[in-house]
Amino acid sequence: MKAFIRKQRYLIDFTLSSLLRRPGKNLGLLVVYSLIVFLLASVMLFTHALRSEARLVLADSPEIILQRMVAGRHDLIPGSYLEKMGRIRGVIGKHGRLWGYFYDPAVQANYTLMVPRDRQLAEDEAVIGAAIARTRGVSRGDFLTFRSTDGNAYSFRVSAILASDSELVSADLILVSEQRFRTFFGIPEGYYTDLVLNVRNPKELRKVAEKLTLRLPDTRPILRDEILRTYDAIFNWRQGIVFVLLTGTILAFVIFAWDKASGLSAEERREIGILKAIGWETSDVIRMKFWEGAIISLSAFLLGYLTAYGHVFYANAGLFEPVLKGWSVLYPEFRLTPFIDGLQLATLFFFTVFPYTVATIVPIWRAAITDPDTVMR
Amino acid sequence: MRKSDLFILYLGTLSGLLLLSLVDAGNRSHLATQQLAETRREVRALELTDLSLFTEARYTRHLSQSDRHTPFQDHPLALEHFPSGSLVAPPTLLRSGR
Amino acid sequence: MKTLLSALLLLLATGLFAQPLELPPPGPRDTCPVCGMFVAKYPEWVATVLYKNGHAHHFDGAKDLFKYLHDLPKWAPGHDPKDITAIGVTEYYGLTRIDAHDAWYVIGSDILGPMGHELVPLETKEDAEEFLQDHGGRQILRFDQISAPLLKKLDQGQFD
Repeated sequence: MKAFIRKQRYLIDFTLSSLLRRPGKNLGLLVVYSLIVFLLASVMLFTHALRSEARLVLADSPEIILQRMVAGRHDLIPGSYLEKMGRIRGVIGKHGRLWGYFYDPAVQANYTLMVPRDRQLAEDEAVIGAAIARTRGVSRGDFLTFRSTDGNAYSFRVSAILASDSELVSADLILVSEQRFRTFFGIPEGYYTDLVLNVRNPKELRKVAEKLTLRLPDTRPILRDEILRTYDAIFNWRQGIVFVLLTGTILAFVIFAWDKASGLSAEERREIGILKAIGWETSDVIRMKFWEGAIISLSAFLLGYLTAYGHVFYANAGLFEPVLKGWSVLYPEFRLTPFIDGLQLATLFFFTVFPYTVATIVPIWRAAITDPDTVMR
Repeated sequence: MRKSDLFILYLGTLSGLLLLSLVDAGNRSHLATQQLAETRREVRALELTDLSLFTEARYTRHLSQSDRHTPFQDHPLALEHFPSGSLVAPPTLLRSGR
Repeated sequence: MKTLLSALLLLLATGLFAQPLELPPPGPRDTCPVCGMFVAKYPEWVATVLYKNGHAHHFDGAKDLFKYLHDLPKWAPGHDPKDITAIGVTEYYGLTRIDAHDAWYVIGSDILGPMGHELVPLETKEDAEEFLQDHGGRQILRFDQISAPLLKKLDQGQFD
């Protein structure tokens, strides 16, 4: 065992010297390799963290949301539907929800106006999300004035700003009283944006939804499960798109690495020939080349992953921000909570370290079993 | 010091950092429980359904809701319009950073 | 006098105001004495037996609860059935805990518990009837109708 380790150490010594003999080429390879791993790992860590957070946070959204459809489009739902649906077993609470959008030309942003059920607001009062406060530069006690659909201007006194801890879900919210919401948007009394049904037992959700579509055929229920699946799908999709965009880069790298690793240059051929001539065995040559591949790919994996971790969780994924932000004026400032999927990490490891190492060994095998005489000639 | 010693030291440091990153992740997600619980409370209290990540347009704000503005008129799970949705560049006003 | 009063209180607590029942919730490490699974993972199915000294056993479904009750010496040696002060099951629609004696149980439905075919506890007869309709149940049973052979058949997916 001891002899084995000593031998490996000598091999590593030799490999490192041989790598350092061509510093530019090998360092360049390492940098490009690390960069690829960095990009892949960043996307992976970022989407996984966001997906985990969405799943965790949205697990408490309403169990069933009922929307009314008119001619295939979403429409206001009359409050009388609450009675019309009758008593459905398993539903322990139901009520209307009022929310809508408002486009603010001053900052060219869309707000989500909402009537909260957990607090009582005065008519001229509003509670705003942290991103709005930032963008409009308002703080508690300031006034926000919006022009409503009927042409009148309404002023809202900002009575509170929603906690920035929850910005990921509340960045663009404006909470207003029900009365003001109705006059502002011209929504008649007794109508709601949608209805919320609380169901305690998740096993009964499907049955409740089934009964709803039978009793109220012009409505469409949205289950919490579907909300969660939507976000899962969105992040998978985004991750997929980034990977597709990266494919070209990755392929270019694969060709480059394959060429570097497998196509032996004349110089390397000569090196192997000399090694064999001075008495190295074929297996030693292969081991030496294995170490060469392992050193480069392991370094690239570790360096790439670590910089990606720093990028996503300490630099708030600065490189992705323009992509995610897109057109939005109101963008939540949030720190991602690191959730790491061990399986994803293992997959990344396997796909970065393994192929490269194999690619270095295989052609050496062919060269190493040839006669030193033919190689050196 | 031999080169192999240096290499083992280097590899050891990096692997140590990798382990540290896992510990750090566990630690930070533990620290964030409070904040996540707060966010969950808000989601429950205000009956929120979506992340306010894509606020750029009415039809992307509530992706799971398929309301009056969404492109997902058929079903909340219907995927976004691709590729047209991704090929339109943001307005210059936003890109110039104002 | 004191014992009479407490007996009366107990009667009030278990008899008249049977629903909802105040029972300790299962802890994260509490396992079902019958099947050995963690109970807290299945909040929709928790059943509980509470003893006089405040000690409680939790089950991940009414089926295991009944197996336990039918063979107490096997599953809980050293426990006396006379010491049991309350038996609670989780009612399907509202997920509240109700007295197991007052519940209506449906078997043969398409709602499966962590241990497969279950006795689904419901609060009222009407609830039980609608559940039977909705979920293709086969039979509505009361507490006393549930026997050991019936539980055995339930495990094999036979309901008649």
